[in-house]
Amino acid sequence: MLRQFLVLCFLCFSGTVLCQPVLISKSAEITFFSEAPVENISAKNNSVNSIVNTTTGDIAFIISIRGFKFEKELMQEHFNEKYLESDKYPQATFKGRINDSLDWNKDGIYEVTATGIMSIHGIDKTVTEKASIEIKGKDVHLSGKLLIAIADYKISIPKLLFQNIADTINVELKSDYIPYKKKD
Amino acid sequence: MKKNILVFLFSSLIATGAFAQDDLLKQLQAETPPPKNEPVLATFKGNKIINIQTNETVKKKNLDIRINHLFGNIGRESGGSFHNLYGFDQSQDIRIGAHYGITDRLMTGFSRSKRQENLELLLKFKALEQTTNHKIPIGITLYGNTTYSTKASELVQKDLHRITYFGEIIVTRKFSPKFSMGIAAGYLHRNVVGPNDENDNINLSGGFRWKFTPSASFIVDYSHTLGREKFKELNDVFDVAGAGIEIETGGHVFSVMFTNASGILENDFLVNTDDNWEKGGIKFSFIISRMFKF
Repeated sequence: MLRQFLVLCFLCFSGTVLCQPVLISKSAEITFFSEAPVENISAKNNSVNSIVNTTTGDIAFIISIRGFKFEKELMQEHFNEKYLESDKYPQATFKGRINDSLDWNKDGIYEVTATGIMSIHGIDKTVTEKASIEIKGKDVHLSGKLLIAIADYKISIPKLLFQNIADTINVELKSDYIPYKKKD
Repeated sequence: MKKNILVFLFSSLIATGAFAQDDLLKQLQAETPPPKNEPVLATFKGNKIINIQTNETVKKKNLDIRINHLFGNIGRESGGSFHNLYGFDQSQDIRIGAHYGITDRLMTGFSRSKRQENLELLLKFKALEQTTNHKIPIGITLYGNTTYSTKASELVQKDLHRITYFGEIIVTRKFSPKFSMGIAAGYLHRNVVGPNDENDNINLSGGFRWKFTPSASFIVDYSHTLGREKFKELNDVFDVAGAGIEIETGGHVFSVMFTNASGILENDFLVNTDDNWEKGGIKFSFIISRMFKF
């Protein structure tokens, strides 16, 4: 009885932990753009990692806030020091699940949505975002465009002084996945 | 017994389902390199707290145009009164400077200041930068300048007499996102000085910045020049203190301050401050800074 129990336990855990067809991306890229009357602000971040479990559709992202590079150093300083407070909140994360089922072995472009918890500036928010997943042989490419309302994440920008930042930021995401091999 | 196992299995299945996303995030976290050893940002907001130097330099290929205006004394005993709007009509000193970042850690600059009619050439180098992971807990910055006075003076026998040098080592630490502190030891050499004075002076100073809103800070600093007491009976010489508010707006930093310093450059106020707070020898001062990127 005990043996059966242990075997069952093992199967139960191994099924979810060991045999996952998991894809990882360590070179994802996030860019954002904010159009404003005085000057447009844009930044690019290559310190973005992502992971997908193709069986369950679970997906996660980790974004290093210090990884956002701006054209103007002063903007970058303000972004880190005042708005995103990267000393306190060095990462933004997303963990969620792709709502649509797709055949990861079949080539094609799939328009999907993912629902999960976005955590920026220490604030968690449940969101549903659209993305497109392109599968071509072994290559898996995800891209998405999303709008982030800065007020949702308690990022406050004094209106009088900073007229050059929009309330909603356009964010673009690109991510290429490769099969994940667990480190030994 | 069988029932127990089923309950256990069922609950563990639910648990693994619900925690799968967390596990996935953890798995990814394990694959994510730990935060890099990045230099701490914005210990201070300008090259000076009020009178004393900070660790801050202008970033590479950025040009900071700084206009610093020091008004006259506010207190009646020191010459301020309603008729000159408490020093508002006087300009004790004006400095207009251009600071340029050669690299992110090396800055050069050029300025003109009114009081001693000085042309100034400066160099500042961040020798050590405090890092976000606390591996390097402090910043060490080296500062040096040389000034050439175009002022007519009886003391000046030859061109060399117009020159002064100032060198300083500045130790800073950002204790929290809201609080930064700096201390500094400086050495000033003036090629020519009047009677009852010394060519070489050592000076100690310190100050802090406390950010009370995301864009406004309270700033305070204090400077003491060693060995000035011995001239006190002949000349008024005082330590220099300053307090003010620093407001940041987009590409500008605007500071409003009160200080008893008699001039803006270290080469001047460290040894020539003859106004004191007790007698109302305080002056209003402001700095406007605008950053340009090339």
